[in-house]
Amino acid sequence: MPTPGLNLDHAILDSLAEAVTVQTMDGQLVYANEAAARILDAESPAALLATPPIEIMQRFDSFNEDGSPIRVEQLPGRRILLGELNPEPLVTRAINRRTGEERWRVTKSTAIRNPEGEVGWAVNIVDDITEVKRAEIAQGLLARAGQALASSMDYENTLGQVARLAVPQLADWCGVSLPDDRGHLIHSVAVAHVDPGKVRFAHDYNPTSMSDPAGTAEVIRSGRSELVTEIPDELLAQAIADPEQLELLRTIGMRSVMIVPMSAGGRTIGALSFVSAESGRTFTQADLELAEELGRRAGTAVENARLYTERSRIARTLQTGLLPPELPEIDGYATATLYRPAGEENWVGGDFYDALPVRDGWLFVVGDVAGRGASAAALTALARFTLRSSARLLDDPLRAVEQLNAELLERSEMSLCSVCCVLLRDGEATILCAGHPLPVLVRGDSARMVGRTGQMLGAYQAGTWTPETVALEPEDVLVLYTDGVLDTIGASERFGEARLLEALAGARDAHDAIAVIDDALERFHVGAQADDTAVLALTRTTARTLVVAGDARAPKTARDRVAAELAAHFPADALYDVRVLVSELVTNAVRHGGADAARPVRVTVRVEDAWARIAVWDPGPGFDPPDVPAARPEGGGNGLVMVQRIASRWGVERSVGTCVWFEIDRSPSTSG
Amino acid sequence: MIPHRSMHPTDDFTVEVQRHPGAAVVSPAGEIDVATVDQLRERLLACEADSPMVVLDLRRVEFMDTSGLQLVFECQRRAQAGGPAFALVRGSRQIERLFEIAGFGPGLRVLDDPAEVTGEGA
Repeated sequence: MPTPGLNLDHAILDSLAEAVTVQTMDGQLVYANEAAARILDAESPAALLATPPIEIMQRFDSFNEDGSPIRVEQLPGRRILLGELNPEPLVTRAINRRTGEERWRVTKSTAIRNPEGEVGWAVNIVDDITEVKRAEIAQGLLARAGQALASSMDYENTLGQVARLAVPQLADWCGVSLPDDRGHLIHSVAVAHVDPGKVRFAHDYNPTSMSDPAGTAEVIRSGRSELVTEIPDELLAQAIADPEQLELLRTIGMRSVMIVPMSAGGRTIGALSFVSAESGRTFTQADLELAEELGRRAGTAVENARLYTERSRIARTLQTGLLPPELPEIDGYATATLYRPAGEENWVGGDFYDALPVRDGWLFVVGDVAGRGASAAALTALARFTLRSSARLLDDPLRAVEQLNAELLERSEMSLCSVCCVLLRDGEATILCAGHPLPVLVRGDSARMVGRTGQMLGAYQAGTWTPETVALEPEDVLVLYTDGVLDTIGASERFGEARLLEALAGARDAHDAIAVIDDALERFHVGAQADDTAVLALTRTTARTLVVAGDARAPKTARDRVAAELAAHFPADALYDVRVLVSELVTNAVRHGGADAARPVRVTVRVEDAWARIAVWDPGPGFDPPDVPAARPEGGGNGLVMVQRIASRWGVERSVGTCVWFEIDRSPSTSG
Repeated sequence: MIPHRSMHPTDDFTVEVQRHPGAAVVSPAGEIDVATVDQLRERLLACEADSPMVVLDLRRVEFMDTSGLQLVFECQRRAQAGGPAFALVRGSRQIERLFEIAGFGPGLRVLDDPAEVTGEGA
């Protein structure tokens, strides 16, 4: 083929595997070899030259590597025509609109000068790099999918990530389907789409039946993938029974589809679907192989995640049985607890507490077994139940502790346990510590350790443990805690005993003691909680504690319950006054004290012969009580006016939250 | 006279309104506190809009705290500022004592029976 003014060795060029075209400066194609005709979808080089350039371009949808459409001025040949001499090679992904075939190409262009020394032609050399590019994409896709699948045990979430990775490089949308537990319906659990606006549509897609003759159901049943290179409309109409869905799918313009099994250990557990629509490309055998590999990897990951989830569920079920109990109501004592195991999947740590009735009293136990996880949980169970049964049978905490020591020594593996037992009987606390931190006795504003340290259990045949008995005065608070409290790590050191004593000094009652420890640890600790923490506090008191959710009904719930506590002891008029005051204080706690559903109002009721004391606790920062509140018809503070005028005595105390208390004498007060 | 009764979801608290030519009588039944006071306030305001006088009948109120006291004084204040006249029908002895303790008694018009202003049998 003659090219005026340009000497080309046609025989050599025609035989080249690379596509070669030559353009004149006005953009006309004046030469194309056989390879160029092939890749530009022309019957022959002559036919290609006879086709207007614009028409050739329209045969393809061309994209940059990032998926954006190619603009004409990006083409290296065009840039030479515009005066550049050495334009950068251009990588394009071209999809043949007629066949849907996708090819990756790199185009290089060189300027050729005419005898006058001016640029007269642009020579374009186009290399087909489809295989290289696909291998690169496949590798990248599998690598990223592997990372995503290994990143979490939340498989529905990771499958979503895998679906998103496949788009747009492999498909325009990608869906993940899993059959339900009974294997009747197939649910779409994740969908990704080039156009995120369409994801919702895909999710709305109804679950399909496992008994469908073709499609996802057949792939899951048979474990064999399905590739439909071109989807004829009849096939679509045949496959989709629901006319609404069919219409939607037609609107999307599905061109090509592949469905591959997600398999694990020879079993098919779901399917991945890949659809080509917007891009107009058709899937190839190579695409199918890549999709199948994704399916295998996703299947394995899902199966692992399921096994893990199942194992966690079993562990939780077992652990729930070992969780410390809600402490029973104990006459003359109020109790409160804090239990915080360290670690995510660890509900039950090596710490435990318990309270059990013994003859004429109660036995409280706080303990800590060595080790973590399942073996620690098993040891916890052994320690708790041994102490329970032997304390009941032997009626003596010392002998119960000796019994547990013997049990632990009998075990083949090293089994260590530390406990602190407190026997409450006749207003006295008998304390026995075995390798355990000593409990703290809070009396008024002072706090001190009580009891004597003894050996840890499970270590020595002949241990000696010395009980110590202290008399509990009314309103004394005794706090038992595990070493997780002392060993809480702060910025530079552990929490330690001094901080604990300082925090507890002045704690008003068991709940308050728990609140101050929780608050102090929260402010002190740095980083993740390293150790399990258990705290049990008890107060010798006649006070009852009522916990009321902090909502609009709280005032009524609280005043009714307080009135019920007092009903047997107080005359009707005094009861009415108490109801008014409780209503006022609880209203304030909800309105101003920050109480809500999560942070309830706590009301303690203490009934003595001559008087009753009621305290309302809220989580708020507190306020300065006016010396003599003044009544204001316009509202605000009227609740406190009533307290001032009706109560025999009242006050405000601040701890972690705020406590407003009042006392009312049984004989009619002179106030009012 | 057709009694207009409205049930509210809050426990057993109800408000009944009877409209007479000279006055609207608002009769709450149950306990007045932060959870119920707004229902009562709404009904009172609605009556103030089209009655020359509003009477709050406390005879069926079983319990009231300062939420109720404050509401009464809002009504009284609007009456003094030129709104419709306002009167109370005496509640239980315990509720009356609440008014005394708060020191809000003086200046309130207190009736033993709404018929004193409606001119009808209650």
